[in-house]
Amino acid sequence: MNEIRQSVNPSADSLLIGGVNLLSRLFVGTGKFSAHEIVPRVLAASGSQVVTMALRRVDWKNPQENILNFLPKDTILLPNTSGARTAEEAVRIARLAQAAGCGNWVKIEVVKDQHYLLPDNWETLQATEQLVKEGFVVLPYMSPDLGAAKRLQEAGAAAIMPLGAPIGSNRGLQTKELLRILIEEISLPIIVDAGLGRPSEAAEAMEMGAAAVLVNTAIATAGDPVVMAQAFRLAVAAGRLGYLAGPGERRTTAEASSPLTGFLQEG
Amino acid sequence: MQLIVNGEAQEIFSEYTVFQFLENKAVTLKAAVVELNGKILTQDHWQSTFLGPDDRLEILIFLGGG
Amino acid sequence: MFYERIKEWQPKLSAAAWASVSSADVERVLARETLQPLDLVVLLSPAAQAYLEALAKKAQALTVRNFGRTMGLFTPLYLANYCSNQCVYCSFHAGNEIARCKLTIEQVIQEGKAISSTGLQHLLLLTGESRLQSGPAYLEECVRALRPMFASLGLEVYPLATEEYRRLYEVGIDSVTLFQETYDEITYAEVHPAGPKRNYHYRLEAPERACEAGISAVNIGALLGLSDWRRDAFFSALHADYLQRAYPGVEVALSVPRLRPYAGSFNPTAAPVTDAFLVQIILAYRLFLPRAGLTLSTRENPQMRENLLPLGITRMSAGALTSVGGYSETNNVGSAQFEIADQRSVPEVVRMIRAKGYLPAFCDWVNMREKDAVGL
Repeated sequence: MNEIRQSVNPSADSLLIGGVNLLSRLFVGTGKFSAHEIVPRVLAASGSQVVTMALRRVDWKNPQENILNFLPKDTILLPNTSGARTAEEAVRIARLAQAAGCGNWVKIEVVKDQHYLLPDNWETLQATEQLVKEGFVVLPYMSPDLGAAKRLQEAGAAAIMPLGAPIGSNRGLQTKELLRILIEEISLPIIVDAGLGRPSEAAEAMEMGAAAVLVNTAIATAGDPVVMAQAFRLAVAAGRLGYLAGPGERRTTAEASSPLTGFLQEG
Repeated sequence: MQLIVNGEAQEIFSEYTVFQFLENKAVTLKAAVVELNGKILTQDHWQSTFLGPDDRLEILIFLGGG
Repeated sequence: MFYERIKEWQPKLSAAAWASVSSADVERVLARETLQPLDLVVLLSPAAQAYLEALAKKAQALTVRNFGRTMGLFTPLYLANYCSNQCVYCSFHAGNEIARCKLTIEQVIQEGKAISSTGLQHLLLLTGESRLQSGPAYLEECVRALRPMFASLGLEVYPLATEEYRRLYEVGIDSVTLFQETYDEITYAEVHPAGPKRNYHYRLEAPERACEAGISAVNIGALLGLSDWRRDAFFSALHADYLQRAYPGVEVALSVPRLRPYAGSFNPTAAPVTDAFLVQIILAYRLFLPRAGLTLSTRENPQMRENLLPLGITRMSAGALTSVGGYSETNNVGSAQFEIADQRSVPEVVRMIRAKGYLPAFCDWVNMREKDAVGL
């Protein structure tokens, strides 16, 4: 097969998004940490280059320090539009984030359903169309529907971020089959976001061919977030190498009889 | 005079600029975002923009999020 | 355009490449769920011949899962056999002395009634390539005449323009069948020395035009045995995959016609497609495209058709004739395009299908398009 197949070169494997060649395929979220102070150590352990954060009103009663103060200088900031329930609100948040001087990447997160926190694909598409026009590098968080993903691709999204399971559920790849279809059919990077609870699940997503994963809750709420961040880093790298190497074969059992093709031997 | 700041009514002295307001509130100015009456106000305008009665001010910062 | 893919893959498919596929490669592909074009190369390689039974088991399981144990039925009706081409492998070759004729609309209706009385609901209309004798206007008249009698009509004629496909779709054609014959340009030029069919690209792009025009289903394939069958099978399947991705709303199907005896003296230089090779092709198509239709014509003999049935076929012809008309007693029988190997009647084919544990499906598509809009 070597005549045709190109050989694998893991050291040259990078993920190109928004003009940036990312070496780390683990994106990390900064929500739910017990304290912002732990974030720098978590990020160092995770090796992540892309980090998400949320835009919120300053709370005068409980002032919190800006999360940006805790991120390494060259981190790529991926502000999300969490809190938005409509495309309009998402667009507004994106513009605000950009005005803060965060760069032009944005993760669109539009959730109307407060029970499961499932994203609204329709509003997400509207927001994507608008923000792409305004020059943003748009990474939409969405419910894995092929039709919606195709439209997002057509609208100019830089990647697609389908959920593995509802936010915070830590249930792993509940949407595995749908993710597989997206990975098959959509040529944009597929970044599995939400629901990954264990390093093995992140590895599984990478083995399936996901371009990257975004992990927040599983790291932030682990007993030791720094060690968990390291575990996810290793898992993502392992899964990616496994994918590049090509899955191993399963020995088929020898066929003693040939009920379906035996006729070819006769006369 | 009265303003709406982050959705709540606030009383301030007149002749405050946005910059002074933020300073007064001890808001770390790095990467704070300000929206005045529905329009984004970039940092370079904070010192020159005066607040008026019934202005709606949104002051936002980045916090942890997924 | 699909031609880009052909150019991309053509240089990779050398004899050495086929030979370099190992048993380990085949086993790897057998274990895989979703296949890529490289896996298709593996399935069509010499190494895969040793794995036919394992491939067949998987192909059967996939087909049953996606289609159930059903077999769609249809039959072809040749409306005319006038032809301006000189395809060296075909009886309708312009230089061949055969009885040429064309059905009148009254005859078309008679044929339709005769076929319809067998219970068949899906009819495939064919002609030779002659815009003069059997042009789009004639085709349209035939479609109008037959539409009331059949749930769905298909067309297998010469390549048409997008507008012509659109018009015929409006009038009542649901599917378009068009075989590239061979994807190899050199062989293609050799076997089509004269006539409009010489235009390789116009033919290659026709299925896309039909899809653009809104057609519901396309059926493509190569005439196996004209040129190197491994390459032609590879490109046929790749073409089907390409069409399916570009037009997700269209049902895509592949056919596996093998060269048959006919009224001519063409002897292909390419290796013949043995039964074992035909099986390999069918299995490769099924594994690479789990949801594509696979159509079997009556070029194959009864035993072969019965044996191929459980391997991935989803549609077969029954009671077919390849002469012009011929279904009703009263019509002139113009010379046939190729010999029918399986001459069983519709009831006999139905019995055979049932005996294999499959359900004969006379109808799986009903044309519901507004008849008023086109004056029907």
